[in-house]
This record gives sequence, C-alpha cells and structure tokens, in this order.
Amino acid sequence: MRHLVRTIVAVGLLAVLASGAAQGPREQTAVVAINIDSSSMNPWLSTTITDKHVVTHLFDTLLMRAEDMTVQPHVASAYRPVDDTTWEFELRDDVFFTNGEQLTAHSVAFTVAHFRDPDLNAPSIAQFALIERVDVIDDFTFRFVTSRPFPALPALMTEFWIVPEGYTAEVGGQTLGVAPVGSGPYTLAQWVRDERIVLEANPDHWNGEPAVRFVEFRVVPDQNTRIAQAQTGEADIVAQVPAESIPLLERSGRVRVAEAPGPRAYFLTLNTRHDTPLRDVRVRQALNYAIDVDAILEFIFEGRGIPLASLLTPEQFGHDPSVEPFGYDPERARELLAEAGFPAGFGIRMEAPTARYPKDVEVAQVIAAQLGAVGVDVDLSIVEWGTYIGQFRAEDGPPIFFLGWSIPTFDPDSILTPLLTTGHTYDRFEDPELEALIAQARSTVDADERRALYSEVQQLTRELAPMVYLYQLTELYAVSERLDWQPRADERIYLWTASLHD
Amino acid sequence: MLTFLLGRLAQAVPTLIGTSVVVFLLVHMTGDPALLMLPPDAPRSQVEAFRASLGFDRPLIVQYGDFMRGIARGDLGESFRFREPALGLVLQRLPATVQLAGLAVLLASLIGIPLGVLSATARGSWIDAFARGAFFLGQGIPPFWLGLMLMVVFSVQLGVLPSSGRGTIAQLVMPVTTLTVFLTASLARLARGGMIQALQQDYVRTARAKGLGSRSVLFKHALRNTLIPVVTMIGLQIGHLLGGAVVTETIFAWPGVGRLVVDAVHARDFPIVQAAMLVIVTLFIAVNLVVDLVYGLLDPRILYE
Amino acid sequence: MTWHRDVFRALRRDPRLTTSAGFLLLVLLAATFAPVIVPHDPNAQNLALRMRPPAWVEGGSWSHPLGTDQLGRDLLSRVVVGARVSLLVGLATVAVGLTVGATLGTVAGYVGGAFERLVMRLADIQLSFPYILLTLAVIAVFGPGLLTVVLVLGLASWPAYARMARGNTLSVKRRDYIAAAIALGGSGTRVLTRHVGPNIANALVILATLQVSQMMMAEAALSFLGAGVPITTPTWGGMLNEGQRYIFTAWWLTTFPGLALTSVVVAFNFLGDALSDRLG
Repeated sequence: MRHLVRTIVAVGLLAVLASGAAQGPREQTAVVAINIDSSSMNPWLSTTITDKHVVTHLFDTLLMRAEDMTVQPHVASAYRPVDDTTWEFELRDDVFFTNGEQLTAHSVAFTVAHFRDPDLNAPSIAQFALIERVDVIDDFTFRFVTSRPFPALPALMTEFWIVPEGYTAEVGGQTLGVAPVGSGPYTLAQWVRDERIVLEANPDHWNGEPAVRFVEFRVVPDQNTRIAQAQTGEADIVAQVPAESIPLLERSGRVRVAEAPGPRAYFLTLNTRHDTPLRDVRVRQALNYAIDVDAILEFIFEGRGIPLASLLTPEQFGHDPSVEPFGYDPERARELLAEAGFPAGFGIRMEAPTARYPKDVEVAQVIAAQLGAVGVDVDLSIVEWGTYIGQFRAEDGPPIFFLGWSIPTFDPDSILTPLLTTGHTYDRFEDPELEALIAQARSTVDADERRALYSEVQQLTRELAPMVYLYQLTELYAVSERLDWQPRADERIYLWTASLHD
Repeated sequence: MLTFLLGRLAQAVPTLIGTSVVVFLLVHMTGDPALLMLPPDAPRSQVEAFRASLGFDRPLIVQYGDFMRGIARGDLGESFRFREPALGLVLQRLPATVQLAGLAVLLASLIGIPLGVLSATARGSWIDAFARGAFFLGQGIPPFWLGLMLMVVFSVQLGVLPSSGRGTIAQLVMPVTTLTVFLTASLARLARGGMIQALQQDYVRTARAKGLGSRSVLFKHALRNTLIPVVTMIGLQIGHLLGGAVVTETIFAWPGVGRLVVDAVHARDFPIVQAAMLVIVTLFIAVNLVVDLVYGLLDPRILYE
Repeated sequence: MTWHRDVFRALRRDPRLTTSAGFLLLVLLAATFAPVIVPHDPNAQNLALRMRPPAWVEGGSWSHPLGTDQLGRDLLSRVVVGARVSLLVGLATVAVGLTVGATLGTVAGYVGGAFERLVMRLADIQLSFPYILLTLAVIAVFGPGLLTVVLVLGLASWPAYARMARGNTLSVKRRDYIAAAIALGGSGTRVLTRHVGPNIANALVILATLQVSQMMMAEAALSFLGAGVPITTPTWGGMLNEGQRYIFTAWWLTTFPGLALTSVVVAFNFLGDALSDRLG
C-alpha cells in the first residue's frame, strides 16, 4: 500500500512539474520529431536510436565519429595500442560533469564497473565483453586490457559514454536514467513522457557552448504527422522521410531534403540447416540472380540506395568495392535452379516484418513476385516484430527472413560473426573456410592485413551466397530552412554543431 | 441501495483477480521480451541471463504468485523498458486520456442525443433524412482518414491549428473532433431508434389519447426508455476510449494510455500491460456501476435488489 | 413465419430501403464473381506503372480506371476482390458477437442473480483488453488466418451486445404486459423470445450495423499484426492500412477502398434502420 501511495504522490508531483516547467523559446529551439519516446537516459540502459540521440547529447564518449565517419579523439585526446591486447588512452584534463565532478580515468573504470553491475542488467554490452579490465595509470591515463586481440576497440569507444562516479554511485543507475548528470554538450531541461524531451546547451562544455540553445525531441509516432510537422514548420528535423513525399515537402517552401547513406544492410537470411533446396549453393545463387534489386531501388525508393554484394555497406571497415552485386539475371537463375534439380522450381516459406523497415511490406511482396517469376513459389507471411524476432531466433522458424542490420561500430565482425558462424545468434549456415577467415579477421590488429582478410570474406560470401544480398538505402531527412545541419551516415541526430538562423 | 453498492464493490475483487489471471496468461503467450530488449547480435548466453534477471526462468505459476503478492502491496512491477514502476507510468498518461475521452463523449452526447430525438420526432421529414445521412457518414468514415484530412486542411493548408501534441486548447480541437464525429453518429442513431420505438408503445399512445400535451408526453415517458440504450452506449464508449483511442492518439501524438499500452504490447513490456489492464478494468467497473445507477434513475422499475 | 413477407412489403414501400438492399446485392454479386469479372489479376505487380492516378486525372489511363497502387497493381480489381473477405469478416464477426452477446446479455438481464453478475463482470474484463493483446495471444495458439480474425473480433465484440441486451431487458421485463405474461406462467424461453426479444431487437440491430464498419477496419489492424488473411488476399481494411502511408502523395490508394467500405456501411445502416423501424 505504501508503494501505491508513493506512486500516486510521485505522479502528482510530475504532473505539477510538467505543467510548470517552461519550454525554450521557439526561435532558440531546434525541434526534432522522433517516432518513440526515450526509454532511459542512462546511456547504459539505452536501446533505441532515440535513446542514443539523446544520451550522446548528455554524456561524452571517449572517441567520436566525425561527419565522414572516421574515428576521432574526443574526451580521450589520444590512444594507441601498446601490444595486441592492450590499448592506452589519454584523457583531456578539462572535462567536468555538470555537478562539478571531474571526468578522469577513475570515471572510465567506474563506468565499466557500472555497466557490468548485474543489478543494472544493461542490455547492449555484449560487445564490451572482450574488455578484461581497466588499468588506471594516472588521473588522465588508463589502459584497456582485452582477453584477445580486439582491433575494433577504438570504433567501439565511440559508443562508450562516461558516467559520473560520485553521482551514479549515490543515486543508482535507474535514477541516472531519469535525472541524468553527464559531461555532454547539453543538459536535460524537461522530459514529459510520450510528449517531449527538452535539452539545454551546456555553457561550460569543454568543446565550447553549442550554438543551438535548446533542442527538443518531440514524440510524433505517426509518419504522416511528422511530415505534416515538417511542412508547417513545427519540426526542424524529420528523419526517414519517404522519397515520394519530397515534392510535397519542397512545395511548402520551408524545408530542404538532406540525405545520407543509411547504416543498415538489408538482406534475406537463408536457413541451410533444414532439408530445403536452400542447402544447394546453386539455389542460393539463383535466388540472388532472381531478385531485381535495382528495380526495387528505382521504383520503391525512387533511386535512393545501392545494391549490395555482401553484408558489408561501403561505410564499413574493409568493404571491398571490387566485389560486385549479383545483378538481375532471371535466365541464369532458372539455369541454376535446373542444374540443382529444380527445373520447375519449388515452394518455400518467407517471413517479413511490418512497420520495422522502410517499405518492408512492399519490398517483401515484390521479392515474392520476382522469385515467383523464376518458379520459386513464395508463401509470404507478414509478422509483427515482437513475434518475428522470436521466430527468427527459433530453431524451427521459416527458412527465409527479411532483415536489416545496422552496426554502430561500422566493424563488419559485428554482422559476420553473429550471422555466418556457428554457435552465435543465427547459426543457420556453416562453412569451415569462411568461419576460419572471419575468426582470423576479428583478431588481426594490423589494419591492412585485416582489410585483406575481409576482402577474401566478401569474395567467399559472394560465391557461397549464404544470404540474398539486397540493398543499402539512402536516408532522407526533412530539414527546415532555418536550421543549418547535416545528416550522418550513422543515422545519429546531433545538434551541437548545428546552428539556427532566421 | 447501500447493499447494492456494497455488493458491486465486493464483485470488483473477483473481477480484478480474474483480470490479473487473464492478462498474465495472455502477455506470457505473446512472446519473449528479452529478444526485443537486447540487440540482435546478443549471444544466447546473454539472452538466457537476461531472461533469468526478469524471472522468466521460473515456472509460470511462481511468477504469477509474485505478481499477486506485488499487487497486494500495491506494487505492479517495474517496466522492462523504462525501469520505473509500471503503475506510475500508466497513471501519468491517465489525465490526457480522460481529458480526450471525456470531452469527446460529452460533446457527442450533447449533439447526438438531441439530434437523434429531433430526427425521430420529425420522422420522414427532410431534417430526418439529412440527419440520418450525416449519422451514417460519421460512422462509415475511417477515423484515421478523417484525422489526417483535418490535419491537411487546418494545419498544413490553412495553418490555423497545430498538427499534434498536447498542452493548448487548440491542440484539442482535431483529436476531439475526430472522436466526436464517430461517437455522435452512434449515439444519435440509438436515440432515434429508441425514440421511434418508444413513441409506438401502448402507454405513450394512451397518454397521447388522454390528451396530454405532446411535449410532456415525449419527455416524461418516451425519452426515459430511449435513454437506456443510449446510456449503455455511452458507458461502452467511455470504456472503449479509456484504453482504445489508439488511432487518434497516434495521429495527433496525444500522450494517452492507449498508445502506452500498444507500445508496451509491441515491446512485450509485460508490467505496463498488466498495470494498464488493471487500471482500465477498475475504471470500467466504476463506469458500469454508474451506468447501472443511471438505469435506476431513468426507470425506477429497474430495482436493484 | 411471416417475417419475410413483412420484409418484402417494407422493401416495396421504402425507396431508400430498396436502393440500399439493391446496392448490397450488387456488391455481394460482384464479390461472388470477382475473380471472373475483374479486369486484372489483383496481385499482378507492375512496378513501372506504380501509383498511377485514376483514369480521369491527368496521368491516368482507362486500362486502370481507378489507378494503380504502390506496387502497380490495379486498384479497381483489388477493390472488387477485396469485397469478399471484408464483407465476410464484417458479417461473420458481427454474427458471432451478436449471437453470443445478445443471448448472454438477455438471459443475464432476465434471470438476474449470480448468472448476471458472472456475465457482466466477464464482459467488464473482456472490454478492458486491447484487441492487440488478444490478437497476439490468439495467433500464438491458432496461427494467422480467417478463423483467427473472426475469433478475435467476435470475442472482442460480444460484451458490447451483452451490455446492450441486458440493459434493455432490465427495462423491458418490468413492463406491465411482460410482467403479466410471466405471472400467467409463460415459460422463460417463451417470454424471452416472444415478448422480450422483439423489444430489445431495435437497439441490437443498430449496434450491429455500427459494428460492421468497425469490424472491417479492425480486420486490417489484425492483418497488420500478422493475424489476418494472407497478404495475397486483398481486403478493404488492408488496402486502407497499406495506403495510409501514401495518403498525402497518392490519395486514391485510400480513397477508393475507403469509399467502398463507407458506402457498404451506409447501405447496411439504411437497411438496419429501416428494418428496426419496422420491427419497432
């Protein structure tokens, strides 16, 4: 009962606070329309892309990806590998959390302890498992020691948000998520659940005070409404604009459409564990030839995207442009099917999600029709995401799934190991040579050597066709004329380098 | 009367327990929150550990026991996603929902009932024909379509109303209109149908034959009976809007309970779904109690023994 | 049985009734013979011809009178074929909900006591559940398909009929002549069907016609959750749902299935209204 009373009091207080707090003046505020509210502002509890937009404004990361996606110094002013399993970082000495605590090597060590605390139950830390320990050398120098060579570590450090030790230890990880204290370029001014998150510029930020005083992330769940908000000028940034609405947006005279390559590779997974025709490499190649990716891009996405030749997008480390996409060749597809013993084709089940990826249902239907044209009769089911992800991971799920996969680190190991090696997430394909190559690449520290290995991997995956490679999309953003801002290839919306004008 | 009220309060307890069992079973049938919370490349070991941390590795009956013990303490669990008490998150959304549902039902009653009665008394006239056409359209137009059309006209073209959000009166206009159009149509139709039927009843004819003024006949006798299905409908609508105005809430970015529940079901955030269902069923019991009391007021022959 | 003679007499007397009944008959015929009469295969895609406007709009052509959808499929063919599942779902779910709900509600109102309490509290529980939760749980057991749709929607809608039937029964059973019939020793079933039934049918018919449109739209929401009919079966609700994202850029995608749905609902309502006027 006490619980109940406390909850009701807390709600009452929140209601009063919510109505009392002032929003920033519109002319000093950049409004970003987002589809879903933040779930937590504790960076180590963040899960959605919205969460990541917000926490990166509030907390600094060790390293930062520049607009060209190269990894650059940030709070860490320099880093170097000491040996294959040790990386040394040097920190700036002028970084303070907004409660006055200084950001030091101890904060980094505490952060690792924080996200590993079983009570916090942090969701997205699998990639950090290779970090064995943090050795604090002095206040501004520390070393990460990894359990095996970990060449992707610097890239991962762009997702390493540092939390203040004193405050977090005092209030706990959950409270940090609702009353965040960080060292980032913005501080939290107001959070009205399912309505808006207002951030205010941090005047004391080590990198200088951001030009845009207030940033409002406004929750607008419906895509049509977000587009209307761009047209009316209510929102300054709207992401994931469908290509066919560009003329509409431009007619409003308030908006320009900016674009950047999207972070996701789209593909069909093929289960080769079950007794289906997909076990035959010729069938898998035939499926790749049978799908007209260029037509999908041209007609469904109005040309905004590129076909892929592997699971790697061009922005990823080691992408080899000399490996070419299959291309559309239905004749070749029919020949391969006939060679594999299916001159009349075969029937197979496929699942695709709804409301998950841009035009997911449309693309799935086009794919089904195109496969049908070479004799592969696809029984397509459209499934809600929560059920879908469960079936994707289940042993006895359908043989073909439609997926998009993004990698925050841009390191191909994060997609190759889970999807193409045994004993990991998906585990529906097995090839010892490929697996050995992937394992070798993930532990090779020398960048050139590693790049060469991934080149081999891409050639091999082109040949083995363990997946049907589809496309990478160009993401479109409606940006108001009053805002000077550029979208990024990692899909993140950061406002500290933006500016507003009339 | 007092026994009636006490009896109904006593019935609330098994209803809430029944709800808790059904919602608990249903949410657990819908899938696995761990897979949705974790990134897609999470290793199996992490998925298992995450499940265990949510308590899903234990038998369902044990989990239900925990859930019920929590309820007894007024603790409906912590949201998987927000890591906050689920009940608080639901109650926070309640004012927005009540505001929208209340206004829409109020307006719909004020417009729909008189319109339906008028249409019945002027049966066959052009007023009736016009009103009936309007009712039918009102309930045939898909709400999302109406909502988006209002937005195109009043926000995008004319620029007189904000497209969405909550906080100002102007932001209420379009969501309330969208809901009211549909509700008005159904209330008006029930009012008209009931009124026509009532006017044909023997006792009304008798009263008329006895020379009582037509106006007083209408209002004393006919309207009372007419209002019973209308009141039932209002009760159903309030209940429906408390948890279900999802389309309108989504289009107009209205931060209500309906959206919270749908998001929570999609994310398999069980504690929020469970808390919301218990809150909604409680409100429903209250609404239906009021409806039953109103029956008694309208028709004293409906005794509550 | 004389009711059908009444219906036919009513049809002759009321032109609106004749029109709406005629229209529904036409839709029913079109739906039945849809595969034979449609100009194109409703699933035949032609990406190069996607989102062509209706014939009378600039850029349209009479080979696709209502234009094409986001995959270049012929909209007219899809609207005609879509009538099949939409009408079936609309009518079947209302039939299930009405039968279950009206029976339980009438009996509950009539006999009162523990049975009434049980039914009404079950209705409270049922009404508070969002259909989306129910749907996901039902798919987990039965898988997707038409049966799942009818089951979920029927389940979700019975309490409305039950509450309506009970409320009206409560009021009707106290009326003098029914009280007299009961006092004269009429059996429960006989009193219910002969005296109570006709008196509450009016509101139930109105409620049922109100529900038809909601059910046809709910079918789309269910398809969206992966519970509905296969994606290769066009339905009005499904077309509305898929077309919603293009509402600002290709109005015809939602307008035509929407018009079809609205006009069928309006016709049902005219029919229901006229019938309930006569029943009253």
